[in-house]
Amino acid sequence: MRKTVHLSNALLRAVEKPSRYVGGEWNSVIKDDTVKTRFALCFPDIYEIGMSNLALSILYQQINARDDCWCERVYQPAADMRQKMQEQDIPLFSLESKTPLSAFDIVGFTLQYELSYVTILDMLRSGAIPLYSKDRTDNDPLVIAGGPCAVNAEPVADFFDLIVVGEAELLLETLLDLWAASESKTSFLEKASRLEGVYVPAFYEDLYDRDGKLTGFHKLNEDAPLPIKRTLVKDLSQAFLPLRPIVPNSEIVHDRMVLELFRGCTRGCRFCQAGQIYRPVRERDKDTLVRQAKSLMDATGYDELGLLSLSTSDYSALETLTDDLLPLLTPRGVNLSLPSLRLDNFSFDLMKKASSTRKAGLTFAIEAGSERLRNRINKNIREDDVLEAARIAFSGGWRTLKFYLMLGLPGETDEDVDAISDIVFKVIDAYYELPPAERRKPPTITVSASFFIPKPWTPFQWAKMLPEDEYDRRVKRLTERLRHRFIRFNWHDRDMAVIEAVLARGDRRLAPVLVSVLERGGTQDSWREHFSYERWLDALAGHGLTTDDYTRGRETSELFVWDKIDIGVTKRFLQREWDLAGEDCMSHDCMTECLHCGANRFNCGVCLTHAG
Amino acid sequence: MPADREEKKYAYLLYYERRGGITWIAHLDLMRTFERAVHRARLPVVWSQGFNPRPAIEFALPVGVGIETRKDPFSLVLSEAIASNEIGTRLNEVLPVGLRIVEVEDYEQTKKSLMARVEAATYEFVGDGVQKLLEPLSTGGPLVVEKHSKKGRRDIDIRPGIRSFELADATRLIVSVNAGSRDNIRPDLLLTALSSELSEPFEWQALTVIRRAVVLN
Repeated sequence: MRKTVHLSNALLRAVEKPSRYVGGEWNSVIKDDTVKTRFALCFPDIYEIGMSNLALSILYQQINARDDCWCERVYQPAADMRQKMQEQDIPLFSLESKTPLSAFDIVGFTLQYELSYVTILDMLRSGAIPLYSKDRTDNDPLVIAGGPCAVNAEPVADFFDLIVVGEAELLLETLLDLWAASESKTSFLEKASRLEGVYVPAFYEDLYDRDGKLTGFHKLNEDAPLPIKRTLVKDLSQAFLPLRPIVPNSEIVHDRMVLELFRGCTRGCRFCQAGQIYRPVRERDKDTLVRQAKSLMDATGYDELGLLSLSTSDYSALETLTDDLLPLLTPRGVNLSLPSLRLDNFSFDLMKKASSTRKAGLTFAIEAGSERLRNRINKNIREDDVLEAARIAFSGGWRTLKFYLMLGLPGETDEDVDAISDIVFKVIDAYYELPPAERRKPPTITVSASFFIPKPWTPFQWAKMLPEDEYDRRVKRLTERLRHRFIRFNWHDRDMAVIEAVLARGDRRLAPVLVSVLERGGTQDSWREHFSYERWLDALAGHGLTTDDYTRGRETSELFVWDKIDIGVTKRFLQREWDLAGEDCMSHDCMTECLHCGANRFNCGVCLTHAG
Repeated sequence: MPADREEKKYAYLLYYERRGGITWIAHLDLMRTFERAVHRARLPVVWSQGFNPRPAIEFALPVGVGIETRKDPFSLVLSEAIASNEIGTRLNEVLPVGLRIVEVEDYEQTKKSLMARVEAATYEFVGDGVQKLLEPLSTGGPLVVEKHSKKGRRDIDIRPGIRSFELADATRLIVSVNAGSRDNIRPDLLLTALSSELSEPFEWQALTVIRRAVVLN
């Protein structure tokens, strides 16, 4: 038996929301602790956030479906609990059996967002596991990672023994079989590195010239593949269908059942990483989804069902799916929640049918204020469509509207910034078109601005970030123009955006910087109250680096550290899109015309149904 | 929402216990946990009318974070008559570990809500040194606690609210206090007040706190 952690009454009474640490939820899995492989699935944020993630829920259920494995959950404790655990020498532990992290065979982290990297290190440290892969022995757990940021995991590459690039579901079974049959970590990694989707960082090295320019990649293990190919589930009907998700005992961020409609997106917005790295679009069959919904209701007792995808309206069978779902849900008091809807007539009808009682807020992800800039970023929304949707919304009784957009997109001018306020005021005009009797309850219009961050594997991966004071100037300009009693304007933290940008296009030189940030007290940097820009700048400076080294514009001739990966879309395609953006030209949606992005090499999904 | 038609109503009084990890969830979360279990058990629960319909489940007395229970009552209204033992069995198959229905009886709803019927509650405090609390319980002076409410802070004497007490053995102290919407003595406030009367510091937070019973009138 492995040693477990005891949580005393006094400890649990001393922290906020102790329910985060006790486990025992419905559908959580308890097994005999003699199971061959003990797997710790780690999310580098607190319980409420980590429990809301569908990918981890799928992996948890899938691993636990195997008799030879027991998968348990590990989350970052909130600041108060973290401090108490340090004081009382309690190591980071799993929720199911309260086993310390270091006692697991495999410790897997999800790379969800760049600002969680230091939290990962904090979890390793508080779990008594050496941070660097090279410092770990066969007595330490195998430490692995996966998730969206794996498409350029270079800043954290030195901490992991293995990184999964792409969708883990199918590969995972092979990896677990291989692990069970391997005698040592080394022999496991040798064999695993040859599988599609596996990146063993220790087998590769980046080569730089004297000026610090990346010149190439060197393989330290001759059988390791280069480039490393992304893995995916070609046919979603072959993927594990999660039917018994954990139902938390205390409230989490997304507290509902979820149906995953499809993966990927055909629209090709040029700033959007998700729109490129999950190509091609693959749908889940409608009848499977309906069957899944029935099982989920029985297995969870939830009163809300959410549809998940990058763009709900793009699901080809959305109308028949909702026609089939509503008669199942309504008699059992279950609401249908419909995020990421395009605001057309069909959507409004659907929303009316789906929520007979509540009117949730409507979201307009317009991303940019002017038509010119929207063309440049390939966001296909016309102003007339926005205003028409606002009119339907107001006359249908909706009063809470949200506008999402970005500041600092490549080529943004003051006219583009001003166009944001213009469109918002036209929406207010649309409200005043209502007859006076219908204008008793004024609308709330939230304008939410984030700062553009150039991400790898997007057409904007070459783009330069604006100087910091330029963001402040544009926010100020917009603040002055958005003064109105109906409008609430908020914007993301500029300093956090800069550090996210540094890490997004970062390289292995950042590994010691991350360790420095941790040593200087950093953790949970994705939370504004824990984030310290000074700490990051000091840590970078301590290693001879600046934010400019990473936020600078890139030459089209440059080699990128992430070029050692083959994601599907080609660099040539991305550059073509970058050039078109420079001319304010739009590109087609995959459904209209194939752009030959490179994802058709996977030979699945929309590439088959909408070939050539 | 289901059924605008006139529904038949069958009310039941259920008693539950909670132990272990789930003791550390808040009352609102506990209510939600029971609602979901009722749905999983496919019990035909009646929905409240109004803008935001809720399943007709009413708890007699909120239970704080970190308090175990042994026989806490709540009412459940169904649209079909189901044998009371079957309700208990079906719920126990789908309740998370630590929660269990210990008894189910038919319940005749009156004008008075279940909450309004609560009179007293019995708590058991378990742990080393608990016998030390016997002395401040036995001496007659006022036991003052600070209460925070919308009207601000005020000191109140909870001594009159203590109904009876008994040291079952060296590690188990049983105290009955007033409970309910008018005069409710929370166990954490009681323990804080008693501990502050001791000459040496006493960490009541290390004790296990159990609500043994809720007394209805």
